[in-house]
Amino acid sequence: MSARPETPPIEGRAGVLRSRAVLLAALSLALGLVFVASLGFGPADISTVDALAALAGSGSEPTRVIVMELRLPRALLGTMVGASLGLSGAALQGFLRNPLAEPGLIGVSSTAALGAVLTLYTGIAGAFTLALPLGGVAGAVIGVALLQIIAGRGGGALTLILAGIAITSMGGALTALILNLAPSPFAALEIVFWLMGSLADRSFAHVWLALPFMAVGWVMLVTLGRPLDALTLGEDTAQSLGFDMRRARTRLVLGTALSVGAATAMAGAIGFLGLVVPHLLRPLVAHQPGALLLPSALGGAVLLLAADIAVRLPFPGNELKLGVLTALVGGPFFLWLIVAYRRRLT
Amino acid sequence: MKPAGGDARGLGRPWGAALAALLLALSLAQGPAGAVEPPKPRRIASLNVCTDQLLLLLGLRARLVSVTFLAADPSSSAMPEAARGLHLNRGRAEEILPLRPDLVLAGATAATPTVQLLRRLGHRVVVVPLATRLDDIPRNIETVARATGEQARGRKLIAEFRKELKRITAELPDARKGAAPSAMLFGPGGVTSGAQSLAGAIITAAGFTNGMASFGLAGVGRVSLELVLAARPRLLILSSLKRGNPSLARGLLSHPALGRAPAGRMMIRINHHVWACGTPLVLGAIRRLARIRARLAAQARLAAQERPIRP
Repeated sequence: MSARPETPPIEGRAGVLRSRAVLLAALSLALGLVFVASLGFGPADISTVDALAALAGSGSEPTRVIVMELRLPRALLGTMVGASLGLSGAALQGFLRNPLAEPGLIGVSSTAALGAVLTLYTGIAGAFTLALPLGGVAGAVIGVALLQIIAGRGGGALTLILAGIAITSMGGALTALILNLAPSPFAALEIVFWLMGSLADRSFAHVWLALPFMAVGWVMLVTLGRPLDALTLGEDTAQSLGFDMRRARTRLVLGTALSVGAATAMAGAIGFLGLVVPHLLRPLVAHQPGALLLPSALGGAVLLLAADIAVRLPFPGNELKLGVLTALVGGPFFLWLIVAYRRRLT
Repeated sequence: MKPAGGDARGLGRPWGAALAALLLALSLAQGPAGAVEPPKPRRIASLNVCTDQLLLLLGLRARLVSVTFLAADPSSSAMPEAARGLHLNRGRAEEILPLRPDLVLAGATAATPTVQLLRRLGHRVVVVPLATRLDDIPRNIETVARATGEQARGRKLIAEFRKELKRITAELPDARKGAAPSAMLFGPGGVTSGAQSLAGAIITAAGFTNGMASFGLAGVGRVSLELVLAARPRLLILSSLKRGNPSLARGLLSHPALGRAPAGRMMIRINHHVWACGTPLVLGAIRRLARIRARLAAQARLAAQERPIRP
């Protein structure tokens, strides 16, 4: 794909806009379908049709409770988390001009999980509700800041990935340490949730808790479109075009930290999604990083909801963790990407 | 339930321990000549929260050199006060060896290397199996009583347990009149208990059917919140933790979907430690569940009486 970029024939500006509108419409339609479909999966025997009826207010009481209090918040949170990961992946790849950038791989998800774990298991989150997303956001800020210091300016893809591996392993180790030291006998069993992510048994409380943070983060990232496009011409050129790159960097850091931090605090660290989605969609937006942002948010939501259906299929009632699935799909993709990247360099 | 031996409570202070040791020494010295009984173990270490409680219930606090840290945790033990001041272990051989115990009690779930190591070093280790039925409780009391040389206290505790269990079950509504209502246990992280489990035995002893058995669950396992909500048990028992110690598992019990019991159903909370150990203390839970069972039966009778009056 990247070896021989297939740029579409040059159309008029109207043509580009029209194809972009078609893409966004198609992705929105896919999101709507997979959202509705996801309401029909779970250990209890409630089909998509029953679930829609329950949404409309009919159906038996247990069905309504299951759909309204378990499946609907789960699908909403999945949409929000997927959008956050896809969007921040696209923004990071565009800003760092690095195809391997992604919150899960560069350690941001890992430090966000660490921040959330710190607030949850010390009891701070129990005393002060907003502490959980705030902990995730603070952890993510530290993660992005560390990365900026180590691999930010002029660092190549390799530096970024190596720094990411270091931050990810440190974050994971500290998370495991805190969970092992936590007084609750259940805490140590919850390492997998924080390292792999899951949407099981989340409630509307989690949706409302995360939404404000994520929404601010999304706005910060989506409006990065024009500076990102300018950046393709080089940092100096972008600066000379009147884009304040330092402000854009701050927006990227804060936007990623807010959206990924809140997402991780609610659903654990989910890897590879932010990597795969922008790569799949990039050829469809003529490789324009700015135009990739919104489609990546929608695509991330579609992919995460699809993954969240898939984790419920093999063992109903004892579902897989989301990270298992995203890594199974994303891992080989990542390897392929590295091979393609090396071939282009040599 | 009062501990059987009278000396369990007041002997927290070193004076009590010294007195008990003195009395014990005297009784040994004055023992009948030619007694075949081996000397009673005087330095007992326990590696399991259930044997901790059985030892305390047998009134052997003064002879304990170590109990598990769970024995002092109100979420895991029914009698944390009784364990206060005792040496606490985390089930490792290294913690036990310096205490020079002459008897070590371990649960069937104890790490086998620990038990093997202690045995190889010449310690007497008695493994007490997990209780999965109510009948296992007298058996385990007997095992602990025999190991500690307190058969008489064991017999007394067993007799009290059997008597009280009989009294509670005798007052239950007739099982032949109408089907028994279903009850389900839902604990932190969705942990629950099926047919061959102590919790299942407690639920059935109180006149309910264990709803988890219908899911094909045999021992202790996990169930999704969705299935519990869909199954609509007549009584949902949340196995709650006493205080602090936040975790995602614990958070599941405050999920909004469990906020209120649906119409015609009941929901209660019973402390988590009740389901863990087969000791006479399970009688408290059986008594409480049996009272609810009686109330449900009364409601059913009332509804049956009203029915003909309705047009």
